[in-house]
Amino acid sequence: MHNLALPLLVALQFFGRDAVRTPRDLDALCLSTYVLAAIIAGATLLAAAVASQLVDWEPGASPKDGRKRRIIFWGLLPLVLAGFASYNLAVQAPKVASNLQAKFLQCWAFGSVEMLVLYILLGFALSKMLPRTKLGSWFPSRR
Amino acid sequence: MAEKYFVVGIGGTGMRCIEAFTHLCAIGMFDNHEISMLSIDTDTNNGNKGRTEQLIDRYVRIKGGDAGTPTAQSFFTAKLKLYKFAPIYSDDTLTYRRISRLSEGSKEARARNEDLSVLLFDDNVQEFALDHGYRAQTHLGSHLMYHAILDAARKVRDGQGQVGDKDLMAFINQIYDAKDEARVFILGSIFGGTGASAIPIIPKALQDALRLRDPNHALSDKARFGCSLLTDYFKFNDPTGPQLKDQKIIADSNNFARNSQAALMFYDADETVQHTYERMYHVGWPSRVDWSTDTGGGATVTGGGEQKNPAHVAEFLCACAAHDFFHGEHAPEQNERALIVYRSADREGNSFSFGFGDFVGKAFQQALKARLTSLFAMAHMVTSLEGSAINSVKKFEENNVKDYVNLTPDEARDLDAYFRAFAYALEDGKVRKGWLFQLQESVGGPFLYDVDAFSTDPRQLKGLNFGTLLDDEGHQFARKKFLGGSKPYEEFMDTILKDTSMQPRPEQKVQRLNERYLAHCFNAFQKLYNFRS
Repeated sequence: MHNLALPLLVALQFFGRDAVRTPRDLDALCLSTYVLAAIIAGATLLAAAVASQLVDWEPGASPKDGRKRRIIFWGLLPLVLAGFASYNLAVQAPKVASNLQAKFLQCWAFGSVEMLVLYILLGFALSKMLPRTKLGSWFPSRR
Repeated sequence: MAEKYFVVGIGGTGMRCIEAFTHLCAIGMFDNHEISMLSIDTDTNNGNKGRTEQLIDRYVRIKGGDAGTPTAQSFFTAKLKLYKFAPIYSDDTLTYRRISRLSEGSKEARARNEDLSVLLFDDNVQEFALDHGYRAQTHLGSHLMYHAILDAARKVRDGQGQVGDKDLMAFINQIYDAKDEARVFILGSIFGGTGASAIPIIPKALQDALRLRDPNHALSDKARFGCSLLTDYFKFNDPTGPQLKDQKIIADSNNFARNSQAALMFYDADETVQHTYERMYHVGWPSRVDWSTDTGGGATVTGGGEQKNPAHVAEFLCACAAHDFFHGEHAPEQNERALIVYRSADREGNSFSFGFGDFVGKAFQQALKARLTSLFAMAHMVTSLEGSAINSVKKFEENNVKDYVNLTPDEARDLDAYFRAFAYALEDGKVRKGWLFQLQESVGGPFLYDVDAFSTDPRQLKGLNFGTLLDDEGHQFARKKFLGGSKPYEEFMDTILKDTSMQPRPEQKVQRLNERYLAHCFNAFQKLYNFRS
C-alpha cells in the first residue's frame, strides 16, 4: 500500500506545480506521467470490460457479438493513447522548460508504451482467466 | 428383469398417435427404456405413415441407431426401434375377391365360397381396392388383417418373407423374449378402417403368428396388453357420386360416430377382446375437426401421399394413455374383463383448459411440465435464433465450451429437422406449424403456454421471450425488468458458460456427442426454469 501511495503522492504534488525547470522537477513529472499511464490503462480496461458486458450474446450463423467486443477492446486503445498524448502535449509540455522538452517527450513516449503494454497484457490475462465470459471474446482461442 | 415396452400404431390415426408417442419420448418421458414400435398400415404410401416413420427414423439416428443406448433426465432418453409391417394389396391381392380366390377351384367349391362371402360381405365390399386401407369396413378389415399377419408368419417360416414380414416376426419375437415383462400398447382409432379392424384381433394374431412359426412358442400369459379407444374426432369431404361409383366403397365421415358406437359395443361384448386386453383407454373429443381437403372436385381423399393430416391433441392423449399404461403403478388387473379407463379435463368456454396433469396424471405432471417446456424452448432457440444446432455448438466453442466441436453436420441436421417437426419450421419467411403448434391449433383455445409462443409471425417468434413460456412465475426466467428488456438467450448462454454443474452428469448416461450436447442444454433449461430438484 505504501509503495503505491508514494508515487501517487508525488504525482499529486506535481500536478499542482506551474513549471518544470530542473531535472529533478522533470523526474517527478515523468514519475507522475508513468503513474497516470498505469491508472488510465486500468480505467480504460475497466471501461472496455463494462462496455463488452453490455454487448449481448448473439445467436445465429454469423454472430457479431464477439467482433463487437474486440472492436471495443482495441478501439478504446488509440482513443486513450490520443487522449494521453493530447493531455501531455497540451497541458504538461508547456510547463516544461525548453532544455528539458526532449527528455519530457521521451517520458511521454515511455508512458504511452507502458499504457499500451499494460492494457494489452492485462486485457489478455483477463480474457484468458475468464474464457467463458464476454471478456473471453477479446482474445478468442484458435479453432 | 425390467419391463419391456412395445407400441403398435395401426392405420392413419395410429400413425399420428405413434408420432405423438415419439415426441413424448423426445420430451424425455421414458428414461432408461428401450421401446420397440411397430407401424402397421395397409396404405403403404400414406402421408401420415411416411411422416411418422421419417420422424422415428430420425429419432433413431439421433440415438445412434442399433448401437445407441437409453439415457435419463434429458431429451431423447428412450431408445426406439421401429418395425414396419404393411400388408401388400396390389395386382392379385388388390381386392378381397382376388385375395380369397373366389373364382378358383371346382364349380362346387366356387359356389360355396361365393355363398359364404356374400353372407359376410356386400359385393362392393368384396371388390373395392384395398391399397388405401379398409375404408371403415371393419368386419372385412379384421378378417384381412388377421390373415395378413398369419400369412407373414407363414412366409417367414417358409423362408419367403419380405422385409415387412420379417420385421413383424422380429417384433413378435421381441415380445416373446420379454416373457412376463412384455407390456404392449396398441394405438389406433376405432371409428375408421385399419385401426378399428386391427385393435380387436392384434393380441390374438400376434399369439397365433408366433405359434404358426413354432407350435412350442407362445406369448406369456402375463404379457399385458392395453390399447386406446379413440372415438371420432375429425371429418372430411363427403364422397362425390362419381367417386363412389368408381371406387365402390369410400369411408364416409358422417358414419364415424355410429362406427365408434358399434366398435365400443363390440369390444364390450367380445370375449376375446375382453380377455386379451387388460386396460382400454377411452379417448374422445367433443367436436369434429374438419380435415376436408381441396381436391379440385371436392372428392374424399381416401389415402395415399395426400393424406397428411395435422396432429391433434386427442392423439397426444392416446400417447399419454400409453405412458400411463407403462408407468402406472396399478397392479395387473385381476378382473376377467378389460378395464376401460378415462380422464376428463376442465373446460373454459368452448375449449379445454388443459393442465399438464390432464395428460400424464399428477405423478408425472411436473416431469412433463419441466421437460416439454425445456424441449419447446430448445426447439425455439435452435429454429428461430441459432438457425441450426451446429451454430449453437460453434457459439459454445467460441466461448471455450469445446466439448461438442466434433458434432457432425449430419447429426446437427437431424436435430434441426427434429426440432422443426416438433415445434415449427421457418420456410420462405413463413411459419410452418410442427406437431406442438398443430396440437395447440386443435385445442382451439389456450394451450399450456403463452399464446405468443404459437405465433405464426416469424418476427414475433424471433423476439419471443422463451423464459416466460409458462404462466407460473415460479418457473420463469428472464422476466422483463423495470429498466431494460428480457434477454432469455443471454441468461441461457451465461448459464451454459459459467455454471460448470450444467455439464452432463453420470446418471444421465449420455455417451454420444449429440446426447451430451442435448443433456447440457437440458440441464441449463432445468436450472433456468427452476425445475432442478
